[in-house]
Parts: sequence; structure tokens; C-alpha cells
Amino acid sequence: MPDGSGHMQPFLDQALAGAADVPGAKVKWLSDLRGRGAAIYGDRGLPGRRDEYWRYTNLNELGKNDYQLANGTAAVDVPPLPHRAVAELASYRIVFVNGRLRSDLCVLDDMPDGVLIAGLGDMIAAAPDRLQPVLGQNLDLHAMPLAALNTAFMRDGMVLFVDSGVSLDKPVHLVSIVVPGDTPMMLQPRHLVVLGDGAKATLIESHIGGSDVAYFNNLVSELSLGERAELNHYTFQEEGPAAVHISATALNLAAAASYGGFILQTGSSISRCETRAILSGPGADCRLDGIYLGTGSQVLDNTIYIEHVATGCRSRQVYKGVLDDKARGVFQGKIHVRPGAQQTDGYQLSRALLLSPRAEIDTRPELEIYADDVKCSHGATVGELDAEAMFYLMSRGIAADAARRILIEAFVGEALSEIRLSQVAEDFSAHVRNWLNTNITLAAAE
Amino acid sequence: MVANVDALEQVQSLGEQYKYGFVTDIDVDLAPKGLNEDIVRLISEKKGDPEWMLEWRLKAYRHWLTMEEPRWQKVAFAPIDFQDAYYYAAPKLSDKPKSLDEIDPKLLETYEKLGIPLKEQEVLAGVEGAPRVAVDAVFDSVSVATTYKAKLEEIGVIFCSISEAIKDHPELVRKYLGSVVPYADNFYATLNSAVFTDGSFVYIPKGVRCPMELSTYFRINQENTGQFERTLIIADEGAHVSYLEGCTAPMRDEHQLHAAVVELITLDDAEIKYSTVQNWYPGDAEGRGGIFNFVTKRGACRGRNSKISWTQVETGSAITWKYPSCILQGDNSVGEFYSVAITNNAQQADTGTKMIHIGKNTSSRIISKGISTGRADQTYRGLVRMQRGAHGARNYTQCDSLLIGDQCGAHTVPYIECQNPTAQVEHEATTSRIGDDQLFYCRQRGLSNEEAVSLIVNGFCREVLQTLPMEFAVEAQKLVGISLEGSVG
Amino acid sequence: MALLEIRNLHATVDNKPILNGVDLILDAGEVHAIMGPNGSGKSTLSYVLAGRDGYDVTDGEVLYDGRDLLAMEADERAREGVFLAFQYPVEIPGVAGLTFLKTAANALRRHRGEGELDAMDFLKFVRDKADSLDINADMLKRAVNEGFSGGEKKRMEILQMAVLEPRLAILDETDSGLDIDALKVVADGVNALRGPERGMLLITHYQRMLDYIVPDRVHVLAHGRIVKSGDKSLALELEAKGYGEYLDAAE
Repeated sequence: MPDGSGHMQPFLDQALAGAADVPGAKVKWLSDLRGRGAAIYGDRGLPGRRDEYWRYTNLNELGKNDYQLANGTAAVDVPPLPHRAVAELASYRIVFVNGRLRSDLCVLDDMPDGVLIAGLGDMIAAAPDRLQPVLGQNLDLHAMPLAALNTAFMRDGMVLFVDSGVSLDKPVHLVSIVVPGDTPMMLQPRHLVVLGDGAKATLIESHIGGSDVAYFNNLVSELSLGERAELNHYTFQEEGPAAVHISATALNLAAAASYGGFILQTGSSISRCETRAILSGPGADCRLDGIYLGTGSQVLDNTIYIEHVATGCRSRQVYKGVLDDKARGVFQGKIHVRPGAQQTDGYQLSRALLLSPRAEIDTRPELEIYADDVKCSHGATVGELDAEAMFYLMSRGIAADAARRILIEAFVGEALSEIRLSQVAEDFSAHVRNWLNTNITLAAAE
Repeated sequence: MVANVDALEQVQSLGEQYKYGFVTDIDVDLAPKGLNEDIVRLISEKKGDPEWMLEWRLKAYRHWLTMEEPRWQKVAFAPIDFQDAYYYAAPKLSDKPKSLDEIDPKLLETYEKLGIPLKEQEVLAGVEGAPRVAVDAVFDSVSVATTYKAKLEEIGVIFCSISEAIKDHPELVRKYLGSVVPYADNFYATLNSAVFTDGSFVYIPKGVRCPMELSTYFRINQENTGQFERTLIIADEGAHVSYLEGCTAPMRDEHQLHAAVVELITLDDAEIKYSTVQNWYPGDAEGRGGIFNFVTKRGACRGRNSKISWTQVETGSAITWKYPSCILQGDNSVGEFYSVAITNNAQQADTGTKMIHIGKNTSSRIISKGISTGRADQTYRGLVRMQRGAHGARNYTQCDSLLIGDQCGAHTVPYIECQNPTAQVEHEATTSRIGDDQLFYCRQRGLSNEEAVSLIVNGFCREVLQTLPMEFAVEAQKLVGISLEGSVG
Repeated sequence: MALLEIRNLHATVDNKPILNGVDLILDAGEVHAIMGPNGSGKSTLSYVLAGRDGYDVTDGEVLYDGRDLLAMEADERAREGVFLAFQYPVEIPGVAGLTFLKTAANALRRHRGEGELDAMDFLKFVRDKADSLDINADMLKRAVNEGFSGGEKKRMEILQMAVLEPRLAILDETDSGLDIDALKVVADGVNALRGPERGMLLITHYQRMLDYIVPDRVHVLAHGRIVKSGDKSLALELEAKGYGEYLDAAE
């Protein structure tokens, strides 16, 4: 039996308990899909250390609390909406509180033709047929047991459809806020993004949690890009300090499609952002970068699986981690080149800095290659700040703490420079600086 | 491109190229087929084990019964029937020959055909002017000859079969056997602990630099026999030794299991250099036959400033599955792993290393060159762990894979775990193929396709091959060419 | 019999016609220069003669010593004495130049029924060649072309040519990217290798090299055809007038 079998049942019970009166319960394909999710999760249970891709991230924490599915009715003020720069950015905004769509907080006026932004719950009720060809289509539930659990629920989330040839004029800002009550809650949001051939969009996600109460946010995003479609996708993971954040993103790129993703993780006690990308059409381009900043006893996991199926595709990942105190970082990245995926160009770089003698980083870059005409490489480094650079700065009269700050900022800055949208870059930088201000001054690696 | 395509159309049986596939017809002393406690006792009796050795074997055997075969490795093979093999096969000898003159001429002839000198004035085949090499020759389950023993004894170096060491040097064996690879370590090591029959033992006393290369040559001859040898090498304070290991087996249609355990121990300021040229029978082009080479090799740098260096050239075996590793306990100790692995036809290999950094300022270096062709599948799997106390530790890893043809696979699975902020780890990996422009350049100078590929692959492996002792390097370079035969048209 | 006779040679790369009927006769002992603007097919001609994959001959024939050159594999041509000095010599990491050259020289010697040279004899042979060409043989200790400057790469090509003693040498823009000193070394090398048994094709864009290597004939290649042939004065004429005239003429 899987390690986690002992405490997998409460989650499943809740999914099954509500199954009869959940929206779309009578839509056969949808209830079949939920049933399939429940069955696969029931079979596998919570992943444990014996699961090869979970050996560094332990979910036993989830067994300690009695998480109850959130109902989404909590009151919330607009001001906490993040983030300073992004908030000023003109955007379409779709807001979820405790996993449920809050129309009163959304800004979805003047949408161009060919664009649909809506709640998944509303779509299930109003037009489930539009979901059928895409929902659950790009997801390997066996590979992601928690995505299977999410599939067993599927009550709400965001749906973004952009028709072929349409370029969205403003970014879409998806905001998820958790306002916990007195007891631990659970969220199972499901987001769906479909870009038609040649469509273009920018999506910004903010995941924010307000309090010290434990909650479990288990989200799944399915992103599908048609031929030559372009999606820029920026994510802030800033959940509450007692949160468990598990996000699974399934990405499918058709010919010559281009995806640029960036994830900044600072929140939650345990977080795992997993992306599985399938480059299914020739000439697709997948870029995925990230920064994770950990302190306390946080575990921040970044897991990426890139599958090159078609010829002439390119994938790039650059991840930077800074870990202080007892924090642990995980980077697992796999480039898988299928037979026939010739002229693949794959590259992966993971760099981590440990700032404390109790911090830890576990890295596992992986190549699995079945085609000969490919160019694939990965690099990984772990280490402390460059002593020579420190000395140089200090010899110019800069205090040790300040010098450390400067070097760490430069270290992560390299990844930030990849962000194309200036407001987002600004906001990410501010966030990083803020984190450094809070955490670095007292830290000492000695 | 065209060259690579032609390649696949003209894949020849590697079996036809395997020069060491002959069988020696010799009388053997064979234990009954199968494995049970009685067989373990029988082996122990045949070896003349003392009681403590038998107890250790039985403890291992009983533990083995509780274990499951590991399945995490990226190789595929039909289940092994452990009852359908012989665990002891020895050429009939009245006793181990006292001098080389008493050895069965058939055995001498066998080693001569393999190019292994069992006469002390000779050197490894074909290399003039090479330094002398002392050889321990293991034939199926037993050591049949050890050369230069007396000369080495003069300076206190013990070089003998492990069976002799158990009898003659029990205090050393009891102290170190199983101290690096415990009897319960893993499925195949535990099996080995129960049924190991022979292998080599080396002890280099304090301050001695061993004046010649030591080497063991392993030969599997008997059908349906597993070879379970155990090698133990101890370099005492300030000692230094270079040890070579070679292996071959006849061509047979069924698979044969080779599950060895090698333990190395270095004390303060000591150094062991361990080189392997593994050329077990790889099976035929369809994957029939060939050796399952499931080996546990591990070294412990116990002392300060000590060093263990592994070099392996892996061209043989149907399946190679091993991770020569270093446990870097002593402060400032150094671990090295240099590997060339070539898989052709239906061969599979999952190999790499573990570098466990425990002591301060320990450093390790991993250079792995993998070449995959035919329908072969190859994985580099490695672990670098910087433990909490490994202040100032360093690791550098470079893994390069070369694919020849589009039916093969090459994989890289490194695990990097770091718990010390002052430790530095650097890992790089690449996958590529031989450039068409490189091939054309060579061919324009008159080299045939095969010569060109062999030359380019040898260049690709150079960093590793140059770490081999000279007399092995020449052999290894030829072997690289031979192993690639049929990979290009 | 001519050493090399090219008749109506047509060739394509990726189905795109590059050579459109080249005719040329080179006798042993002669040096011919082939000049032409960029894109005229000069490098394609050299690759077709050397037998590189991906260059498809669609019509015509090439006789080498009266034998069908195009029927031979690339390495066979090399062993028969066809040498191409590359415009961009490739790097082969880890393979020492000396090993590479010895392997090549012995492949040729075996083919000619001569005994192979052992390492010591070969080293001496190479050193003598290098000395006579004023090239530093230490280059051969490094991996083939790895980290070489442009000039070093070209000198290495000339040294290889001297060692392999070809009957037909094709020098593909060997002058490109060289400063005047390097150019002199290369030119001296080529001149030293001129001989009654050997024919050479110098492929070049500029007349500059022909100040040092005086050709017996000069051919102008444009749009994949020899459009004009003449003696060495033709090169000077091209230098003065440029290629404009030929570009127009062939349109």
C-alpha cells in the first residue's frame, strides 16, 4: 500500500459525499471524469517517500489536520488584493475566495470578442459542452495523484478561452485568497486555459493566504496552446505560513506554440509547484523559470517534467533558490525526449544558495533521451556566496550584511530579468527585496 | 546523418566480435544446483571456513530470504530463478597449487589465450616495457593462481585470495569484511555475503607504496554458474596501491549472474586506485545470453587525507548495474569516479556512483562518459550528498552521453543533496551525437567510418581512459573500437 | 590522361541546384585557381569532389586518373590521393592531432600496400615535414583543431597535406581569415608541395593568395558554371574589375 494510505481516506470521503449534489452531477462525462479521479486517487493514495518523485517532499503534515472543504462565503475586503504594481496594472481580474468565484470582486468588463473568462462552476452549470473537449484532456492523473484528487472534486476555478487569432489586450489576473476560519480548510480549485491557434494572452496568478491557520490548497491548472499561440504566465505563491500548497500544471503545446512561465514561491509551510509540459507540435517553445525563497522550516518543491514528442522543439528552465534557517528546497527537473523527437534543444539550470547550516537543497535534474540528433544539457550548482565577491564588496566599505544582500539580490536577479512584463518584474523584485529585508539581515552562514 | 542511418542497417552481431567467448574443457567440482542453507554450509566447508565465517554467511543468507529484489533501476530482465544455478564450481585440484608449475596446463593455456600472464617474468599481453603486474586469477568460484606473492610478502604486502586470507589473516578479515558493505546492504550484496566463494584480498601495510600493479582476472567458464566474488583491499596509513580488475566469460545462450562485492578501506594519508576493464560476454545482437553484472563496489576513506579513485571501462555484460562509491569520512579525503560505459545491440547499463561527503573539506570528482548505440539503453545514476558536517566540501560532476543511431537511449539521473551551506556542488550533463562534420573530416583523411567513429569516441572518452594505468589504457582503447563494431556502416 | 576531368557537373543541396554544368580539366603538375563571388558554388564543388553526404550529383561525371571519382566513398577518395583542405576545419575533442594524423597516414599506407609506421618513425617523419614547412609540430600534441586560431587551423591543414602526400589537393578558401604572415606560411607550404605528379585546385574569393601561389590557369565560377578561363592575368583583371560582369553575364 502507498505510504500515505493511512490518511488519504478523509479527502476522498468528502469528494464522494458531495458527489450527488455537486454542480454537473447529472452530466455523465463530468461525473465519469470525477469518478476516474476518485478511483485513481483511491488506488494510489497520498504520495509518499517511496514514490520516486516525492522522495524529497513529505506530506505527512496533511494527516495532522482535519481539513474540510471550504465554502467560499467569507467576507473579504478589496484592499488586501495584491500586488502593488500589479494592482495598478490594467487587467481583467477574476477573484476566488476560499476556492470559490466571487463575482463581486471581479473586473471583467469590455472583454474583446472571442475571449471568455468565467468561473468553472458557472460554466459547468451553463455550458458544460464547451468544457467537454478540453477538461481533463491533458492531465496524466496516474503521474499526479493529487491532481486525481482534485479531479474528484472539480467545483470551481477559472476558465479562460481565447479564440484562434485573438490577442488579449490586457493581462488576466487570477487572484486566489484564502481567509481561513477557525478550523483547517481544504480547497480544490481547477483552472482551465485554452488558447486557439495564433491566440495570445498573459496570465498572472496570485495565491495569497491571510492567517496562521492551516489550510490545504490543492490546485490544478490545465493549459492548452494551439498552433503558434503564445502564453506568458506569472505566478506568485504567497500562501499563509501554515498552508500546504500543491499545484499541478498540465501544459500542452501545439506546433510553434510558445509558453513563458515564471513562478515565485515564498509562501506556505509545504509547497510543491509541479509542471508537466508536453511539446506535442513541431517547433514549440517552452520556457519555465522560477525563484524560491525559503525560511523557517518551509519545504519548497519545484518539479518539472518536459516531454519532447515532436521535432524541433525547445525547452529552457532556469531556477534559483535561496534557503535560510531550516528551510529545504527541492528542484526536480526532467527532460524526456521521445523517439523521433529529433532536433530537440533542451536546457535546464538549477542554482541554489544555502544561507544557514540547517538549510538543505535536494536537486535532481534528469535527462531521458531516445533520439540522437538532440542538444540537451543540464547544470546544477549548490553553494554559498562567492567569498571573493564578498571580500571585494567589503573592501569597498560595504558591511557584511549589506554585501550579502547585494549578492543574493544579484543571484536571484538573473532569473528576474527573464520576465517580460515590466509591472510583473517590478512586483516580483519588490517581493524579493521585501523577503530579503525580513529574512537576511540576521542570517549568517558561518 | 547518412552514416548513422547506414549504421543501423548493418548492425552485426557483437557476439561475433567477442574474442573471449571460448570454453575451457576441464574437470570441475560442482555443488548441487540451487540455493538453501545446506548449500551455504557446503560452500563454507569447501572453503574451509572458520566458524565465525560460516555464522556470518548464515546470518546473511537468512536475511536475504526476507529481502525483495530491487526494481528501481532502469533495466529490464526476466526474473532470475535463484534455484536454477550452481553456486560453487571449481576446477578439480588436489589443493591450491604451491607453485605455478603445478597448475593444470589447460588453465595456463586459458589465461594465455586471454592475454593474462601467469608466469612471473611476463607482462600483460602485447605491451612491451610495461611494469610488472601481480595477478590473482579467479576461475569460476576459486582463485587458481596468484603471482608475485612471495616478492610482495618481503615488503609486507599481502596479496592472496580471500579464502586464504580468511585462514591466514583472520584478524584483518574480521575487522574489515562487511565494514563498508554490511551483509544486509542490498539484495545482491547480501546474496554475495552468503555464498561468496573467492576473490582477492590485499593489505598494504603502513607507509608502503606497492611497487607493482596488483590485478585480479575473473573468468566465468562453467555453465549455469553464478560468480560471487568478494574483494577486500585495505591501505593502511600512508599506503598506496593501484589495483586492476579484468573479466571475461564464454558465449552462452543463457544469462549468468555475476554478483560481486568489493570493499576498499583507506586509512590516514592512504590511497587506493581501483581500475576495472569489464568485458564480460554481452550476449548476442538479439539479447540472448550474456552476463548480468550486478555488483556492489564501495570504498570508505576512513582516514584524513586519504583517497579512493575508481576508474571503470564497461563494455561487456548484457546488463551492467553498479555504482562504485566513496564514503568520504576522513577530513580532506578525496573520492574520484571515472567511467566509460559503452552499450551496443541489446545491452543495458545503469551505472554511476555515490559520493557521500561526511568529513570536512572532502572533495569528489565524477567524470562519466556514456556511449549508447544499437538498441541499447544506458543510464547514469549518481548521488552526491553533502552531509551537515561536510564543511568546505566540494564536488564536480560531468556526465556526457553520446548517442549513435536513433534506436538507443541515454539517460542521466543525478541526485544532489546538500545540507551544508559551505559545501559546493557543480553538476553538468550533456547529450549529443557524433557530428556529421567530424565524421566527414575524418573520412576525408582516409579513415573508414568505423575507424572514424572509434577515433572520435576514444577522444570523447579520453579524460577517463587517461586515468587508467598505461598497460590497461592501450587495451581499453582497442576495446572501445571493438565494442562499437556494427554501430556504423 | 588528365589527373582530373570534370564534365558537365550538376549538383544540388537540399534539392536546390548549385552546380549547373561545371567543366574543367586539370593535368598533373598543374595548379588551377577557381575564383568566384560568394554563392557561386565554390565550396559545393570542393565538397562534391571530396564526397560529402548531402551534396547530390544530378548530372555529369568526374574522372580522376580516368576512373569514376563519384562512385567512390569519401574515405576511398582520400586513400586514392584526394585531399581537401577545409575552409572551416572541425574540432575533434580529445583526439590528439598526432594520433589523428598517424591513423590517417597509416590508412593511406595500408591502402598503397606500404607498411605502417610505428609511433617513433611517424613522429620523426612528421617533425621533418613540419620543419620543412616552418610549422611548429607541437600543435599536434593538442586535440585536433581544438581551440586553434584561424591561422593555426589552416597551418594544420597544410601540414596534413604534406604528410598525406595527395595526388589531387583541393584548397577551399585556405587564404580566408589569414593575416599576411600566416598567408605566407600557407603559400610557401603549397608551393613546396607543387610537383610534377600532383595537381592542385585553389578555391578562392580574392586574388591576394595568387600573388604568392602563381596558378597555371584561372577559372571564374559563377552561378554554378565556369564562365571564363584564362592565365594568371585573369585574376588581376578580376581584382581590378570585380565580379559584377560575370554575375550579369550569367543571369
